[in-house]
Amino acid sequence: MSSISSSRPMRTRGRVAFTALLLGAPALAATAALVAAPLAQMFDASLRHQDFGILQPGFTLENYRALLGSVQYAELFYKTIAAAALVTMLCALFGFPVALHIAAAGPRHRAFLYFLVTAPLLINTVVRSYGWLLMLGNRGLINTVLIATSITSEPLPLSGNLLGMVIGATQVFLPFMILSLTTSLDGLDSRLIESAGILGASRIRTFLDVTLPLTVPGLIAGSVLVFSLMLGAIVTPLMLGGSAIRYLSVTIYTDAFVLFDLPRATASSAILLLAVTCLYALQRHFIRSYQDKATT
Amino acid sequence: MPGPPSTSPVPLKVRARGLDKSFGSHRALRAIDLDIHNGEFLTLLGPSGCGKTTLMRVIAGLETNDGGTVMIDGRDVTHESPRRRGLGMVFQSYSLFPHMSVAENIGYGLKVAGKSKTEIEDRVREMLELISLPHVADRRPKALSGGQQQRVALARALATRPSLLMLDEPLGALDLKLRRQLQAELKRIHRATGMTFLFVTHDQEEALFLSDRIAVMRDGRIEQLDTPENIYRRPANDYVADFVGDVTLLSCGISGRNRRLAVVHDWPNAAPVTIAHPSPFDRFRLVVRPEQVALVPPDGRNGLPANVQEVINEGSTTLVLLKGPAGNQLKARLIGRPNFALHRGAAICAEVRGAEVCLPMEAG
Repeated sequence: MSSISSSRPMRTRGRVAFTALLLGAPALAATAALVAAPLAQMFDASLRHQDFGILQPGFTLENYRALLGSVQYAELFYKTIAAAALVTMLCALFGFPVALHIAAAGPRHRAFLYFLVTAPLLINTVVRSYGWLLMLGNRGLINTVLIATSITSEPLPLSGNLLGMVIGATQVFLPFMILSLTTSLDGLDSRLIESAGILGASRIRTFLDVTLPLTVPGLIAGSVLVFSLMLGAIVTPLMLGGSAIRYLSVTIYTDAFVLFDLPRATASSAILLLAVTCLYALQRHFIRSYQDKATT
Repeated sequence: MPGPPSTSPVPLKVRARGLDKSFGSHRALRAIDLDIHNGEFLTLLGPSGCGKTTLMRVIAGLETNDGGTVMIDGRDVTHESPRRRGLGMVFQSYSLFPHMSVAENIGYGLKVAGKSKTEIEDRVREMLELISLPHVADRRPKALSGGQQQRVALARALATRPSLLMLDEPLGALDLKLRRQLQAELKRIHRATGMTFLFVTHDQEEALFLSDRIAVMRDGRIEQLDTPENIYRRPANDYVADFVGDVTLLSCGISGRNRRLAVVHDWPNAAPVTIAHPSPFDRFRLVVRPEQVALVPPDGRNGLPANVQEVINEGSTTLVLLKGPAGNQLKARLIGRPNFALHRGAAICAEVRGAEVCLPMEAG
């Protein structure tokens, strides 16, 4: 009697899981084909020698050894991380006020604000970066105005460098940070904010003492998202930073499509991928331990 | 003798005048006037949606009123932010900061006020003793039970020595036994601190037990503001009579020289009911509480003849539902068990003793 009643839900659950697997099979197969296969190809290429752009048979760790042993490469890696971190921080800085505003808005105003935040995502990154070029270029809007009003005589170097890339990338990735923070703020009990206010805390104090600590998981999720998207970004760095910029994704692009050094490009990619994966694992671990701390 | 200008003998803690508040097309508060005396325990009582929480939040400054003024300790605070009003607040959902320890929660208001570390520690210890939880200082709020969390919330609100403590259905999430226990504790703390308490609840028993005065609210208005005794014994209208305690309204006409005999309408063979005060109305509805109804064997000549419909055992009391010959209902609450047979369908006589409130017939 009891064995029947206990085994039945189990069997049902098993059946549901099997059905889910069956339904998910086409998507899984597509994912395997479109993600796993190219990845395998990438790792394969990173373990080969090349001769005039042609991969040679036989495996070697030489590509990795060369990259990891190179001071120049270490510097490039460090600069890339620093630039991506800068973009992430700027996104958090600009994103938080917007997210606070959205979280406090009424339902209709909120829908409109959501539209404003997500609308840029509908436009291709190439177009958006080109838009920034029109603003930041030597003959762009800003420099034209500055020169016309005699504030400067020479155009300011706003693009084709790190500054241009950071400005453009911050705008491109800002929506991800805002959405992540808004989700986190929505889960925050408004009575906590009210309690802090009644206890005498100013708005800034309330933000620092209550809002910020309790939205750390959202901040981290948004940061990891922006940071990893930025590490992998190529269009914005290439268009606004230029090909001379010291940025890993740009270097990979140059290695692969200008120098035809596929093994080096793929080895670089593999290292980058590994770094991002570690970051994700760290984030999951951190958020989980943070939540445990808050609930026990 | 020319009297002095009429001033309240006790200084007012809160003086609210003409408070209006609408949410969209819903009028939550309609021209509310409310005085809260220094040191009293005042309860806003009413069903959900009557505006009681909104009234409290307007006084706290958590909602901005559309019209009217709020004065606290004689100071106009209508346009001041909550943090400058010197209040304490306890929410139903406890609202403790989950990322801070119990001690940090209780000390937060003092920390914000820039008090020294030792002063905060002393006050936190004092507060933990007041709520009888001296051992939980280092725990996180989530590690405590609901009742404990609410006590900590109370301690946090009291720690800054606010001049007015607001409690928004603080016991609503707790089970009955715990609620009773915390009610007693609230009463004790109110007495011990001498603070003014503004309490919001929909539980009439809780309001009657705790309060010095009760404001019964409906549709954004205060229907009656009085002591629990008067709210219960002398309700101003049917709404208050019905909301606070069990009640039967008997339509009556007046009889007798001194206007103290009520002839119950539509109740064949009913003897007139003696009422405590002369009725101001010729036709009226008599407010009868179940405990004002005594049951006597049917041969008695004084009561309302009725049949027993239902006998409900309430533990220490027994509630008897009665039905008159014309179908009128009446409830009687007896202490303990009756010493004569009471069963469904039994013929009985109901005597109404000590009824004193006559409400006018319904308008229209």
